[in-house]
Amino acid sequence: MPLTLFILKRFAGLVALLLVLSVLVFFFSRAIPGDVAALYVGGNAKPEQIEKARIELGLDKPLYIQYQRYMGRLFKGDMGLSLRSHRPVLKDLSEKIPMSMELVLLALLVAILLGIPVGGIAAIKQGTWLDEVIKWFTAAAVSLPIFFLALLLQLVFFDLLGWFPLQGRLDSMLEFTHPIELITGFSFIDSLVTGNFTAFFNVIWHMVLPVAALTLGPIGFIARLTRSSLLEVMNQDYILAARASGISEGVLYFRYGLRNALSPILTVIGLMVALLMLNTFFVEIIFNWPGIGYYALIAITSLDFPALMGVTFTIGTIYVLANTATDVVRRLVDPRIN
Amino acid sequence: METIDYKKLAQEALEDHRKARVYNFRLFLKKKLAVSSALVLVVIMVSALLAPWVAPYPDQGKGAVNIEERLQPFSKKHFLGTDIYGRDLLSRVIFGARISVFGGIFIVVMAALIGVPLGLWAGYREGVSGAIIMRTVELVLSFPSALVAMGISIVVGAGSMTALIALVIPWWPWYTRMVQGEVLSLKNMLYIEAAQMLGYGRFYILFRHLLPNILTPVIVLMLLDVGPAIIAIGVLSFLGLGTQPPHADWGLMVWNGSQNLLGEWWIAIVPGFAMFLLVTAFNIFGDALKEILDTK
Repeated sequence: MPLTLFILKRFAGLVALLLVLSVLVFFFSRAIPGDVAALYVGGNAKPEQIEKARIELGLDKPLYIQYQRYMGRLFKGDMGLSLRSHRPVLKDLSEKIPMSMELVLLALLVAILLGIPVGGIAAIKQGTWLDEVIKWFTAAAVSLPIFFLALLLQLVFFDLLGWFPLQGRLDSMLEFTHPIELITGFSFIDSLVTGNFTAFFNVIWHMVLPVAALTLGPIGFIARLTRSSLLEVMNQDYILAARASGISEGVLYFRYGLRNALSPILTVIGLMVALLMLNTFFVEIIFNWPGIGYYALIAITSLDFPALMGVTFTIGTIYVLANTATDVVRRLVDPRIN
Repeated sequence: METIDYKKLAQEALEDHRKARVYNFRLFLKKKLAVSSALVLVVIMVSALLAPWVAPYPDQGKGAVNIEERLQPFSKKHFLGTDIYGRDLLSRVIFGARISVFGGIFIVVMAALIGVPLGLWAGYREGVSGAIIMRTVELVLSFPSALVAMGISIVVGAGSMTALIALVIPWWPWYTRMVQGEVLSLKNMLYIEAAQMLGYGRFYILFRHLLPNILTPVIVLMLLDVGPAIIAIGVLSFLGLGTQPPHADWGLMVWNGSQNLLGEWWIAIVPGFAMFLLVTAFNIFGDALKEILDTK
């Protein structure tokens, strides 16, 4: 199958998936006990006001008409108003998603940059004490529940050592003295391109613990995978032949081995993004990071149904896009896959 | 003419297989890490099972409030300190182990019970029914599983049983997918064709000939899945979508403790560490057992 056709097929699949998702979320969310109109107008509203809001929001119509309207507006890029903030959900999301993505992408980058060398070293030093230490470390890294790890980091690096801030994105003082201009929504990029270095270093300083909490599991996972994949490749005949012809061990491992061992690692990167998107929920809640996870938590607890729909759509889309991108990269890297 | 004694050959092959397992088992016993993880598992499981007798303060483990002794650090009376309601944390952790250990096992067993038969069927009978099964598998796997579980818990109403069922729903397709792949590669083997020609029924072949041959990878997958399942339960209850108070649950205890993290850190760290210990033990034990079962 040619690559373009493959990508087109995946996108058709994405649309179908989002349709199924929208039906499920829409009808399920209406099954949640709670009066949406009453939530919209707030706690002290009179019955007439609730009734008025019900008509205004179209909640008096049958469910399938409500769904039709919702989808019709969605195609025009309108996800409705948040019941809580009364702002367009799309606007809320477009601010929150970059905040989460900067944590997720940085964590992914760190995991790849550290996980592959650590796993490679374990494979080269197979059977030595170093391999044993790395084995212990990776076993622990994949067994730590993310919320526990995040609390542990806060306790050690804020409470005990005082090296990093407890939570937030920026010192509250700096919010006034050096506010970050909103350009891309990625706070460290925005502060850097506007020359706001005070805020830039402050943001980086605030990001260390959340990113560390996110990245530890994936480092362990990638290191384990690299180790086993590299060891398998190094047992192949062509490596034996290369070794017999006197090629140095360094070249053998890095030029001949690692390159071929990377294919299975590429396949899990999509999975990694999906996992990180979930884990960022907990990290954001614990570190008070104003991203999509924190937004979703508030949407869940306040039954903010349009916001919840928006979050579900977004995460579903990112999930499928990440998987598609992985498959495409895999096909580009490994010509045997068809 | 020399006759081949097939029965003897089969017996010998079986004997070799058994010897390999015994040999691997001896290797297992030599691995200190694997043995100690097995011990940790036994200790946690037995104390979870016998919680009302093992816990020093069973009534507090079940949720009784003891307000005079709230927020106490480690002491002889309260070995792991007390929480915000003065409840003995050791007792809470022991009672909380029940949902983690048995819930984790429940999810994996249910996922296998649903997933394996469907995978057998889909692999053996490729036709329409098989295609429907596999499309369903793909559909379920393409949803973010954690969101599915959270969604179900929100709609149906939080509770420990809801959480467990909500986790089985995105979990079973992994088993179907793996079993289907195994069956596809096995079903053209000579012994299956022989059984077909001898006129054995579909189900007889599926469960007596195919199932035993794919049981090892299924068991390995189940063992390695218990740890993640325990974490998933913890994740839901941490968000308040699992076990409800006053029942003890590690995820919920970590959440409650996180509100007092900077003063009384042990309230969150003790149950969190318990979860870490249990999951690590399951992971190491699963890895070691995988090596025993793999006699190739």
